[in-house]
Amino acid sequence: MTIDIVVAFFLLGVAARLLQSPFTIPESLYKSLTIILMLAIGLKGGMALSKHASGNIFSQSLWVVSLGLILPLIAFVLAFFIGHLKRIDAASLAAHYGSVSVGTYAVAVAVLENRQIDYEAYFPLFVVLLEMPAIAVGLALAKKQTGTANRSQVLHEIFLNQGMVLMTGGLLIGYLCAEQMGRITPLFIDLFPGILALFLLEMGMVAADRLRALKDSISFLITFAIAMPLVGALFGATISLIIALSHGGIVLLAVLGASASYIAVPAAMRAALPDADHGLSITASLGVTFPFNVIVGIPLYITLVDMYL
Amino acid sequence: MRAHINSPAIRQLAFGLCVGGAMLLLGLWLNTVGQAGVATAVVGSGLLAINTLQYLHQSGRIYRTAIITDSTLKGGTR
Repeated sequence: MTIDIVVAFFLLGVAARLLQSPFTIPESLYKSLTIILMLAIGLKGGMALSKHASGNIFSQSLWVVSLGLILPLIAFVLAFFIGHLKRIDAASLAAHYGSVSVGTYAVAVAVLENRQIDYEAYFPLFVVLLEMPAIAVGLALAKKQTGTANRSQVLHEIFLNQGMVLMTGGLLIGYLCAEQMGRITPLFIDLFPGILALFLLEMGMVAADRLRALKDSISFLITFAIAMPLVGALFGATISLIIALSHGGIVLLAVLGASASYIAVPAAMRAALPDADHGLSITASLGVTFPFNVIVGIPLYITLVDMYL
Repeated sequence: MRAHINSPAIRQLAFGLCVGGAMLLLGLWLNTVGQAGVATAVVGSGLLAINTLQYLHQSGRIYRTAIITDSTLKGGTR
């Protein structure tokens, strides 16, 4: 069994925490890595969009948005009716699982490039599109009547969170300035795998901390956090077949469907549903789903797509 | 107290056994066709184990489990 080199950094982070190593990555470095990763993903997508922009991408985008509307509904049904969670907690959890994880997407891209599997280069557009619908569905499911001030705060979080600003901004810059990209390629493109490796080192340590918190949690949460990626991957792969994506594109949309947000949605949910148990959602998405996707899920989705397509 | 047939505990056990069992079978099948399915099978087995332990604990058949307690269940569910 071969472990992808960037995933190996994630495992190093987990091992360091489990062995109680005092090693830490400075908060400011982690934030810098996140900013560079999000900008790099947006820029790459913008560059690709400038070359491949067409009406076909618009229709594909509509299908992708439908994925972001379906998944939170499924997650809510599981969390509310089987998990017996409170409605507000189930809705918050559903929003997390309907949205996407940029970190998981970045790992999937690195794995595909390492295996030289082609994919649609404008995929970052889909990542941006999948950030938003789940938050709206989650709020609707919570049936929470937010006040005017709170509502504007929620809209602010939905449309102006770090991920949205950086990825949409990167997408636009990459699209509008594609010819000048060579000037910033060394930082955003050439160093991408190394930056991702450092990011995953930190994520491994955070995930290990979350796994410890799960000692006091319920088995349903763990089962849910593993079942939802499989359901999401199945729906993602189905939609990618409908919109005729390439081999790598099918894997990537499956990964996007399988991933759960741990950056953008928690911030939006804190503003919109302050009474929800946010620890529940972040522990499931970051403590279980993220490591599951990185270690087991992505290789599994690639294997299944290889076998059937 | 024993769990009622329609209780949340039974539903959660059924859900856990379905997901865990499906993953275990998927992993074993991948192995038989020459693909890497060990990790999937291990995750499936783990799910079967923790869900069974949780159910036994909740239904009062065992009183102490080192792996899972129901402290979050009391605060985090309806």
